[in-house]
Amino acid sequence: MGLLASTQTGFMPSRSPDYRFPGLLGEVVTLCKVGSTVYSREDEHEFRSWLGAEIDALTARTGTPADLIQQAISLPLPEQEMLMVPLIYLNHMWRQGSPALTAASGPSAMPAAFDALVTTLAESTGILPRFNQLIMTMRAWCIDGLPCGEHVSYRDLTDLNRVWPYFWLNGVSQSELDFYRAFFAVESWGVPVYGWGCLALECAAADDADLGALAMRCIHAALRNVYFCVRHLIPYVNPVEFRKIQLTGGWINDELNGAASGYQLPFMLMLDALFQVEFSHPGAYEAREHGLRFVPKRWQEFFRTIRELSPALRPWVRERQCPELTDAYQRCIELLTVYRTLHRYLAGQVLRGATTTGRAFTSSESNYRTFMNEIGALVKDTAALGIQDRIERRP
Amino acid sequence: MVLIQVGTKVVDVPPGSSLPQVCTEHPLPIVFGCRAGRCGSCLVQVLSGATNLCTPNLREARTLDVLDAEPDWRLACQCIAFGDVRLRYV
Repeated sequence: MGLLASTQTGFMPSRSPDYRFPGLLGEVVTLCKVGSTVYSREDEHEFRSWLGAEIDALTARTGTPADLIQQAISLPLPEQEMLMVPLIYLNHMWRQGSPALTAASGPSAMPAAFDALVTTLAESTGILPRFNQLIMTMRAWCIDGLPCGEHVSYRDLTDLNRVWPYFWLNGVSQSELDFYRAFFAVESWGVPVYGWGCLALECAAADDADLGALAMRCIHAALRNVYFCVRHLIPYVNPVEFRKIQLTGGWINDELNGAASGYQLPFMLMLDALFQVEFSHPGAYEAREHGLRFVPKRWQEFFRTIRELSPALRPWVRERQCPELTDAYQRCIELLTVYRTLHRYLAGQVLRGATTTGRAFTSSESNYRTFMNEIGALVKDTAALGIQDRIERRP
Repeated sequence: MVLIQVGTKVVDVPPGSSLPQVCTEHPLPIVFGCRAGRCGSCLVQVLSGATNLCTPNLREARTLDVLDAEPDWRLACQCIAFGDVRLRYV
């Protein structure tokens, strides 16, 4: 666990993301920063011709495209994963051409040198080269007052007003920032779940009911924080931008994939693995398995391990018959159910095209219905993990 | 008629009006989700007039409990107003 996640930052890096790459690879980052400004001029011909020329010039300075690839795959694995981020942003901008256009669909590729670079890095890192939570949320952030490469604390990560995307898709806009922070908040406020979740499993193994109840209460507290962040942020997500990232970012060759999804967030994977949520709906199961394709292999291994260990949790709580432990467990399950219900309705309104703040875009009714059915089944699967009806404590 | 105030907005409605219905007819700043007391998206703080609202049903009480809600919080989707109330969206 300590090799993958920390108590201060969870699965996010323990130092502020550092995009200072050696040599000409550093220019990929500059291209991504400048590219966002050119892209935001909303002229796809100008953008593609500018980026094509820049890529040609960069490759010429390197020698050959193969030299650029060689430099990239010589980097340590974590740095290769970081280099994927600006390349994926550039790939998205190339495909979309202009933020003013409707969401791009169908296969396309960046100019050959960068296409080969991103393809090679994807194979090397095992990360699908499209927008996903790893790219958007876990690796591409900066925090006011915190230089690149500095140690990060839980307090930094949860100070959302200081958090910004490292790269922008469309210049700098409030709606993109709202969209970004809505996802970021889930992972940053959810950090304590990893440590307390693992402690809960250890308590089950050691039959320590008092400490197990404490661990469950702390999981509940972390989930409550995430709940209130999500509740405030989702209504501000701009469905137009969401749709473009979902659709345009979802193309891999000829395959259409969902992109930014909660199933890629370690926080949700952890809770599902810890409580053994069943995913009885075939569509929900398929979506989760698909989401896992975007997550690095070493993380997949971690969540597989949690799944293998956690069957002990629910039977232990039930058989122990300790009121405090049962109550703490039950409250976690009920809050996860409420959280999923909240997500179902608020995110559903974004998917349908009209947020609660009144913005609208061309509807995608079937997408909405599929989402509501799958998440509805997931809400029931989660609620079914409860052990007993709690005695109401409110008057 | 009774007065319902949410933030700076005030509306005049007949006694016995349900808050979801009031919010459908008037642009009050409350976000509704499930409208069944299960998701908590419509949490409000009752600043005054708590006794002018119906008492929480079992479903609402349960959701408020699991959210560790403050004693003066309610789910607007489950509320019926019989007198003046002043609310703040949480």
